[in-house]
Amino acid sequence: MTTADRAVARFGVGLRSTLLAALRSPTALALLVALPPLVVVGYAEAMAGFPRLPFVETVPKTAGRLNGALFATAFLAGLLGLFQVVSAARADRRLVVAGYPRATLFVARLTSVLVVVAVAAALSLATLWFGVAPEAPLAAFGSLLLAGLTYGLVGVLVGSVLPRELEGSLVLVTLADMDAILSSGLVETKGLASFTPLHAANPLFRAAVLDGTLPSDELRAGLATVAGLAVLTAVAYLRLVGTAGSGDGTVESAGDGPAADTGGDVR
Amino acid sequence: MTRTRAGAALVASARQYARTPVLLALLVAVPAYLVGVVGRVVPDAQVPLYGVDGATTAGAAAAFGTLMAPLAVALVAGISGLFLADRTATDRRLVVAGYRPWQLLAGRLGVLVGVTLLASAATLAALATVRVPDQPGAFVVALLLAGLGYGAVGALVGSALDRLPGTYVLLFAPTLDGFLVQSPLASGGSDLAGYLPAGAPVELAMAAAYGTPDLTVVGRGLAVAALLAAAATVVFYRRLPVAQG
Repeated sequence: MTTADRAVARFGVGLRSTLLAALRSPTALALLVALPPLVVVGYAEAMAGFPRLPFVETVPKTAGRLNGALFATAFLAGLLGLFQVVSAARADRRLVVAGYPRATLFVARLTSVLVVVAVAAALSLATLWFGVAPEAPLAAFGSLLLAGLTYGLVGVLVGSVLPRELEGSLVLVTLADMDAILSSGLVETKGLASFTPLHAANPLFRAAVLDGTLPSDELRAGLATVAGLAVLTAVAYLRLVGTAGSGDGTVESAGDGPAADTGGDVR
Repeated sequence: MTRTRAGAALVASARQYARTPVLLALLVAVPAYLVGVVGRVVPDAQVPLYGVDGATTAGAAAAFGTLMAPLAVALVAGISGLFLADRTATDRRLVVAGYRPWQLLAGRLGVLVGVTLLASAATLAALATVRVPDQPGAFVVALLLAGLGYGAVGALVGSALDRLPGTYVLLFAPTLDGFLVQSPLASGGSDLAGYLPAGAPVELAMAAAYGTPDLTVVGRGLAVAALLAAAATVVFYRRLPVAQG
């Protein structure tokens, strides 16, 4: 077996085990199925009472549906990113000690996040379709994928800094909810509030659904956001698993929830 | 001796609560975010109010802030109830050691009431930055009803689910109930919705903020909260061994 073959085989094992770990989490699966319809309908009904706003072209209920789909995708992706880091951090540290390359592990984690993001985006788009038919479905799916990938990385980042499922997911639900509102165009933002993680993906998604277009400026900004987050996430993740064997107990002591039960899922 | 034990159970439950940073953070962050922040970022427009005597429209920021207030207290109390119910192993040992179940229950209930009061105070402080209710006394009653009702729901959920899935149930159930089913921003809705845990608290809160509160709504809210508390008490007793002394 050549070095390249070995790397591919290791990547495959890492990806498979990570996806299996995600599928074995009942909470994650229940959220994946229940969250998109709940949030899309919820946001739509919350906005339904609003009169048409002078500075917004979209009917409020439709704006609510769009925001709901975006929030559901972003939050689910973030949650899965967080769960993966928290539940797998201990196993990853052992694998690194055993000689498994850190970069391969990281790419396997990211790829599995991308796979789950694609499922979450498809479910959110399907739910949205019941109320609003997208003008350009593929572009809409692509922009949801971008939003999901953005928050998948945010989730990994949060998990690297705060390796606890409950606390991390509460941080994520607040972040994603606030971001979906601030980037929606329904409220006026200034300063840093104009550069939230979804600041490009949200208008991109709206344009794809309502106009059937994919504005290149937003697309570039969205990809740049993902690239920047990927670098930050890589640094945080590599530091997390790179401390293997130091015996500081940071990750082990953090696994006091259900995460601890799945801590050794990579095999 | 009995009172001392009940007091010791209360102090132990309060200490346990205070040692859980996520609960302390929620106590401040949930009212600040749901009432203070969301109330500020919603678009500046007049929205219709349905089913509120004395008002047909209101500013969106104030209406959302008011609607979110019982929800914020319900979320904090619900998750606290979940965490407080999640101590069965310790409770069993204490009962074997001679504690009566009601003493343990009184300790939990005392903490839950304290948390509800603190969450209500934090929520009122956050709401005051957006709008002060016309009748603050009735508004506080609405917040307490929301907290006690969902505190009991939290205890019930905690007896069936682990903390993580339980927390999600207690994030989404009150949101669906208080924000969607009871929303005064939407017309229509079923009469049965008023008997859900957030039914009376939201109706009373909106009336206290904009109209004339109805005492029968308080009675309905108390009845629903008492029913939920009774169910939580039954479940609590069933999970413990028979008292030894």
